[in-house]
Formats: sequence, C-alpha cells, structure tokens
Amino acid sequence: MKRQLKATSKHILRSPFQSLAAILVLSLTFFLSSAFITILAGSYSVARYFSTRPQVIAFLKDSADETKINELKNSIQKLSGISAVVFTSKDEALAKYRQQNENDPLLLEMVTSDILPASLEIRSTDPEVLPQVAEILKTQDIVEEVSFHKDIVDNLNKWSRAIKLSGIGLVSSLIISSLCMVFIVIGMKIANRKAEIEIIRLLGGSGWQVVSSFVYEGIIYGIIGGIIGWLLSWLTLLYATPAILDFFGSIPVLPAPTWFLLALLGGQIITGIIIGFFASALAAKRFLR
Amino acid sequence: MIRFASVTKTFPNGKTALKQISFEIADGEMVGIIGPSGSGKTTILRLLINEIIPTEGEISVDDFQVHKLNRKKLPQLRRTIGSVFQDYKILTDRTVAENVGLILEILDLPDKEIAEKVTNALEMVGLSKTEDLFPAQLSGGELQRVAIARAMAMSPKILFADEPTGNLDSVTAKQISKILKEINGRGTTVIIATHDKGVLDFIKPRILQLEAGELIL
Repeated sequence: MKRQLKATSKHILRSPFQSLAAILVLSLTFFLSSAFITILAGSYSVARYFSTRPQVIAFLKDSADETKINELKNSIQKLSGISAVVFTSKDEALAKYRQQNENDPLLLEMVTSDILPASLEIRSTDPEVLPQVAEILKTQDIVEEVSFHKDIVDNLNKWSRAIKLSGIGLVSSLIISSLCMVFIVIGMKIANRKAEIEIIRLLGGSGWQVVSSFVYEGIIYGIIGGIIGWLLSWLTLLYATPAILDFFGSIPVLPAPTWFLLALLGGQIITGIIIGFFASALAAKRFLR
Repeated sequence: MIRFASVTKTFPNGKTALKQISFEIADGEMVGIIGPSGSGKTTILRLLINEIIPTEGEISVDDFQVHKLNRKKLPQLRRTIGSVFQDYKILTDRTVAENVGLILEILDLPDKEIAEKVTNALEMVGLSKTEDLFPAQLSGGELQRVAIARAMAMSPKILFADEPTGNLDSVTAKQISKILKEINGRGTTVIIATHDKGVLDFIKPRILQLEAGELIL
C-alpha cells in the first residue's frame, strides 16, 4: 500500500497539468456543492425561525370578555395541528411594545394600553391548517382583525424547495462532469503507460496490482478536491458573514455550527473518494480491456 | 515439467502458427527451439505464459493447466516463468535497477529485499555497476542482460528467452549464451528460442526444430 501510494504520487507528479485539471474540476464541484448545502441549511433556518413565530394572530375587540376569549382559545386549541394558543392581554401587549421600543422615548410616549388590543397568537405544526384557523377566527364576534403570515412561510418553503431542486440539478451535473474529468485524465494516464502496464502483466503483476495505482490516483484527486472545495466555501462564508448578518438582522442564520462544517467536510471527502474510485475504476476497466 | 500435447494455434486472421505440436521439457533441462522467422517460436512463449490460448491441445507447466487457466492464477504462472522478450521490453524512463526491481515492487517486497535481489540479478549478468544508468546509456547486449536480470530477479523455475541474441554481434551473443548456460547450471529450466544455430552450438541444449509451425525434430 505504501509503495503503491508512492507510485501514485510519482504518476501525479509526472503529468502535473492533467492532475491539476482533475483537481480543479473536483474543487469547483465541491465548492459549489458546499455553497449550495450551506444556502439550503440557511434557508431552512430562516423557515424554522418564521415557523416558530405566531403564524396567525387574532386581535380582539375591547368588548371581548374573558369567558368568550377562553371558549375561543379552547376551541382553537382542540383543532389538530395546533401547537400553541397564547393569549396576550392589553397590558402584556403594552409591556412587549415598550420592551421592543425601549430606545425610542417618542414612540413610548405616544402609546398607552388603550391603543393596543388584546390578542390570541396561534402557532401550528402543520401549515395546512392555518387558513382554516384564520377563517374560523374571522367569523368570531370578539375578533376585530386577523393577521395571517401564511405568505411568508409559504414563500420561504417555495424558495427552499426551489433552491433544493436547482441545487440538486446543479450538483448532479457537476458530479457527472467531475466523474467524466477524472475518467478522461486517468484514461490518458493509462494510455501513456500502456507499455509499462503490459510489462507488469507479462511479468506476473495481478489485475489489482496493475489497476491499484490508478484507483488510488482517482481517490487522491477526490480527497484533495473535497478539501479545497470545503476550504473555499468556508473562506467565502467567513468573508460574507458581516453582509449576511446585516441582511438577516435578528434571524439567527449564523454562525454555522461547528458540527455542520465538520459534517460538510467529512461528507465532501467521502463523496470525493466515491467519485475518484468509480471514475478511475471505470477508466481502468475501459482502457485496460 | 512443461508439456505441450497436440497444440495447434490458429490466429483470427486464419494463419496457423503451430500445428499439432507435442513435446515435454523436464525440470532443470536446457532446450533450444530453432527455426526460421515465422516458424512459431514466439507463439510457443506466448502460449506458455498464457498471453494467447491454444486453438486445440493442452499445455501444462508444473501444476498449471495453462490452456484452461483461471485468470486469478495467471500472475502465479507468469511468476514461475521468467520471460526474456525479443524486443527487451525495458522501460526507458526507469533506471536499470528500477527495471529489474519492477515486478518485485509490484509484489510489494520490502525495499531491502528488493535491493538485494536486484544486486544479485545484475551481478549474475555482469552489470553490477549499471544500477543507476538509464536504458539509453546501455548497448544492445547490456539491455538484453538487463532483461535477463529482470526475468531472474524473481528466481523463476523456468527461463524462456525469445531470440536473446537476435540483435547482437557474435561476441556479445556468446556472452549472453554463457549467462544462460550458467543460469541453467544453477538448476533453472532454460528454453531458448532462436534462429541462430551458432548460439545453440555453443550451449548444446536439446533441440526442438520448428518449420512452418510443425515440429520436425
């Protein structure tokens, strides 16, 4: 194994530009793959953030009495897919408002608890039930107005799906390109070393002994490509962090957890090994026939 | 023991290179296969190392049934037979030592053992000071000796030399013949395929004479 790896490194150094081409294509594939995975993870974080916010808010009339509010709260609570129904009184609403605007005395002065309505905040585990909940609330006498953030969550989910689909398409085509590139490079190397391979076979080298250095070469391309691609995406993420934080404000999309970055690196190295192995094994099978 | 039993080889182009050839070679024997170009000498070597398979007949080398050899056993067969090819088959981008040690490296022997075997093989053929030279720096006779050293590096039971003196002058041819005789003297079965009767007159092996693919002696 040690000697075969030494032979592989010799082969790589003997035709460095072919090796460089294969590594660059793999690095690009892995860079774009990890960028796509990071964006996808970020979009899920944003969607999760919004899905944990109150999805439907019913603002109650000042005339609504406690009994009717509790009846409505209980009836909504009983619906399937509802995770929480939280009542916020006028005083609590004012307290929240003051907390949110504590740095703006002008806004605090202008608002009293009379202005802010009491409300029921409904959270759901199933976005499908939200339109029904909103419709029920609108028909209630004690409800003044219904605020329903369906569009935000729906749009986020649509965007996540679109990113996922286009990302899968992009990454798949890049993986196929990488497979082809490694296949061609290894094939060229096999063609260049036909005489050596023939001699090794005639002298008693086994099939694996002939093929192994090419397979190791493909695997090494995959590993190096995976590491470079990950490194590039990590540096890009670091560079873009201030802009991302500025754009998303209080939505916690960053910092990316360490386990996520390590899993991404591990996943890319394993994928690199698989791409390198299959491409070089296919090339060896095709060109050594 | 090598055994050819009624072996015929017809190539896809319809040319029959060997017709119903039968012979046996005992362990430690020295055999010369003589015949003009195209008489089938190289075909015997190619059949022996299973590079091609016979159209008819049976070939055995010790326990190997060569004519129906499993692909997995092919490397073992080829390590039993040291082959010296007419065109040397020496890699031009490797030093003499690397060429001789090529198969030993493939077999993943320890570096120390490889160096030892390479030195011994080169000493055997009188090329002990050429280890670091490249093939382009060697003469035809020296290249042939490198090919013999490479074949002998694995200590095979059988050495098959195909036209070992084909491209050499008479003095160098005699040196090569002497080396082959010495190798046989150490107990290795040696088969020499040649069109040069002079070489066989010097070595005096048992003669198998081929003529248009048929064994006439």
